[in-house]
Amino acid sequence: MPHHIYFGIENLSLSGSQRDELVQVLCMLGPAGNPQPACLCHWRTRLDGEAVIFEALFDEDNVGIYSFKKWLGATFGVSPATIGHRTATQVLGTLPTIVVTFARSSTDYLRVALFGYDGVTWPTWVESSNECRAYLQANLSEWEPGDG
Amino acid sequence: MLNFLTATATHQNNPTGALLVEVATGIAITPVDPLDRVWSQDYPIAKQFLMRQVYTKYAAFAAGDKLISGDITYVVRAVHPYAAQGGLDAFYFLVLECATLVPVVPYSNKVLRTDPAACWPLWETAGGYAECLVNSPAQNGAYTGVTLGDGVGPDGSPCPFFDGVNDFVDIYSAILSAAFDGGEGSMMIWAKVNAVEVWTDGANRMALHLGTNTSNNYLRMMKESANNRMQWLYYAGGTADSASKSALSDTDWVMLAMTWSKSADLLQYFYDGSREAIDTGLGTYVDALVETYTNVGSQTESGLLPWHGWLAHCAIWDRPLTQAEIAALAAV
Repeated sequence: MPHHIYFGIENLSLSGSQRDELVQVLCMLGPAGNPQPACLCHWRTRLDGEAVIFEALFDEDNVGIYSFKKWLGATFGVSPATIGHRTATQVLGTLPTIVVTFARSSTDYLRVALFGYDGVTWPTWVESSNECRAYLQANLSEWEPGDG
Repeated sequence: MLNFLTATATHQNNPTGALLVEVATGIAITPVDPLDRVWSQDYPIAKQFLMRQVYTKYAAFAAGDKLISGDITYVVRAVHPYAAQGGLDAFYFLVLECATLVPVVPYSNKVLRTDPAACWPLWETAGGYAECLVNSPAQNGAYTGVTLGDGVGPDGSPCPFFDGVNDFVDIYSAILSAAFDGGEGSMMIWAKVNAVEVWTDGANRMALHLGTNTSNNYLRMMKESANNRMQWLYYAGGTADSASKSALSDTDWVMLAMTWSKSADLLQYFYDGSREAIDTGLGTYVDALVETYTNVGSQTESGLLPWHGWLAHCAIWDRPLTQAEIAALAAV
């Protein structure tokens, strides 16, 4: 089932090429075509290049934990089953946001936040955008140039 | 005050049920009926308009039906049917009532009359391109992430929503870059924030950014990170001139504009048609526009400093508009 949401990824220990490979995969998510630009996959990169926020009408299966394990597994050239994860929940605005950290061999490699998704109930687009903006507002210096 | 027009509608022998309508004033009309009569105009000849009905219904018009021509809405005040005679079909004599005393000039036409180098109404409701009414399609913009047709612009036309995260319109083109004059020109955009809270959200939010870079040659109009402030900035050859307007909390449409003239050594900043400030001592703008830094709704193509709300009717000129012209464009 498709959900129009925002999610963010943060590189924790991926190499530059691994990070780029993963981002390239994520940029391809969402519908191939849609009359609404908002539904097509688009993104914004943090100033340091180590985090990206994506928005699109994502298929539910593509933004699940297993999907990220699959992509990470492909990046590392290992079985997705060897990639572990742990979850936490943060309230950025008003709704809980699930934050998933993916690890392998005791090393954290990637953090993913599904804005406004608590692991059970999918947010509306507006709810997800509200949580995403709340995150950006709390981390403004990392996402916007100081001069403006 | 009402205008009254007289029209006749004659049914033609046409399987689609076309009607020939003659309007006394010669104004092309397109009837729109949201119920069960959908019309489209065809063959607009002086004083004669072939109007096609989607299904055959002789009694096409009834009192209260609406006929829309451009921005003018006519209401059918009376219908006088005449029986078929002498080989002619039955026809109808219509009296149209118009609630508009002076025909309204579409806002985009008003902009075009000032001979802009580029003009993007941003009125699309689907698709990836923002039509430029000058040099289209070469100067068409490209939408990223916006929700098209989400709002109603200052002139009543559809307009896109910018989510404050990663939406923008890339308005760069080689032809625009060639036409852009960093020494003499004007730029304008209509802006509306998503809610009053945007004025105090602590973020810089770009309405319009034209630039070669973000260091010493660029122009911008944006909501500042400081609460309730709008900023105009002209950075040319490393010389920055800017002005800010404080205590803003508008949640309705506002028109932002800036004019620059190196030859007259004058910068002018406008808010809703009123000149807020002027500057002198302009630097010399160097180089051409660059795609990365030429956007509606963000500073860069990376979506930095994203606008949160609606934007409409962006235009750029290669001459400084007069105060009177700006004031006129601030009225829709």
